[in-house]
Amino acid sequence: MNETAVITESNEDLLTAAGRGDDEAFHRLYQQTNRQVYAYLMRLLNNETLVKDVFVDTYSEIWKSAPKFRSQSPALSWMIGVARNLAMNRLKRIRHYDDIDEPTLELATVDDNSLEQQQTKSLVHGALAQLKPQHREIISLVLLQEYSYQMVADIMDIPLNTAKTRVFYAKELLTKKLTEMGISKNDIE
Amino acid sequence: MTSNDPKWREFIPLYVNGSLSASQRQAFEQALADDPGLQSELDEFRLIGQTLDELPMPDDAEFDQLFRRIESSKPAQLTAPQAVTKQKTGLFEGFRQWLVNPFLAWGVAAAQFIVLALVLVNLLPENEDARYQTLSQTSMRPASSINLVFQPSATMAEISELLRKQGLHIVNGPGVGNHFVVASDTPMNLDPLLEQLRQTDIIRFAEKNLTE
Repeated sequence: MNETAVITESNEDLLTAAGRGDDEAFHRLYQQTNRQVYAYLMRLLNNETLVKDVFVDTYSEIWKSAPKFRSQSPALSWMIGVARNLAMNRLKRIRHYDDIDEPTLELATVDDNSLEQQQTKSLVHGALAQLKPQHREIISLVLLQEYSYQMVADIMDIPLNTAKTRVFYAKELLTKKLTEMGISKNDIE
Repeated sequence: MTSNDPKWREFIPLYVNGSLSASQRQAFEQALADDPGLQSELDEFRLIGQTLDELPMPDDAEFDQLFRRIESSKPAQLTAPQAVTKQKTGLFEGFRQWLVNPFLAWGVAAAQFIVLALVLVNLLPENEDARYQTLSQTSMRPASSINLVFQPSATMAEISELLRKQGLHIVNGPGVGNHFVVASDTPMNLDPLLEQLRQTDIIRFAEKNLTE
C-alpha cells in the first residue's frame, strides 16, 4: 500500500497513487468519492440504468487515466470531468435514437420524512427531471458538497460569471416548473 | 439588502453545500436575518439539495462490476510507471520473470516427460523375455573361460601339464588360494571339459567364468 495514501487520505494523493498503479489507493479513492460521482451522474442523466453503466465506465476511465492527473485541480473535479465527458458522449448517442428526458427515477424512501415532505420532494424531483440536462447539471454541481463556482465553471468549461448566471437561471426555470405543478414557495418553506 | 443583491444570492448555493468560510457564513446569516426574500430562496435551494441527496446511490453490483473490469484489464494496461520499473530491473530480473512464468514451467514439465519417455523406449530391449537375466540363464552369451582353483599342493609343473593336455591357456593367475582363470585355445563346449577337470586330483573347483 502506498505510504502517502495512508497518511493523508486526500483525494489528490489517492488519485496520484492510483496513477502509479496502487490499486489499494484507487479502492480507497472509490470509497471516498463514489457517492458524489454517482449523485452527479444521477442528476445529469436522470436514468438509473444509464447511470449505472456510465458510472462503471467513469471509474474504469479514472483508473486508466489516473497517471495523467496533475494536482493543479481538485481530484474530485477532475473525476467529475471524466464522468461528464462520458455522460455527454452517451447523451449524444442516445438522443440520436430517443429522448431520455422522460423522468424514470424513483426517490429513495426516507422513513423519518413526513408524507407531505416526501410528496414535495417527489414533485421537486419531477420538476428537475423536466429541466434540460445542462440546467439540471449546473444546479446539481453547485449543490455538491463544498463546490465553488470556479469548480463548476472548470468542469463545464465555461467562464466563472456564466456559471453564476446559469445557476440562477436554471433555478428560476425549476421554480417555474414547480409553480406549474402547483407548488408555491409557501409549500417549500 | 435584498435577495436580489447579487453578492448574497451567489452565496446561497455555497451556504447550502458548506463551502463558505466561517466569516462569509457569519455575514451571510446576518443578511438572512434581515431579508425574508433571501431566506425564502435559501429554503428552495435546500429543498433541491435534499431532493438530490435522496436519489439512489451505487450499490455492491456497481462496485463488483468495476473491480472485475479493472482486474481483467490489468495485464493489458500496465501503466507507464510500472513499465519503467520493469525496464530498470534489467536482464537478470527479466530472466527471473521468464523462469517463474507458469506457461514456461508447464512447458518444461512436458519436455521432461517426452525426453524421459524417449529414453525409456530406447533403453528397453525389444525381446520381452530378455528384459531380466539370471546367472543360470542359457540365453546369456556363452562363457569362453573357466575359473579353476587348484589344490595347495599342486605344483606349477602339474598345473601347466594339465592345461596343455586340455588345450587351455592361463588368462589370469595365479591368484589368492591358487585361483586361475583359463580359456580354451579353440571354441568348444565347456561342459564336458569341466566334468573332466573336476575329476582331476589337483583341482578343487572348476566352473565357467561368467564375469568376463
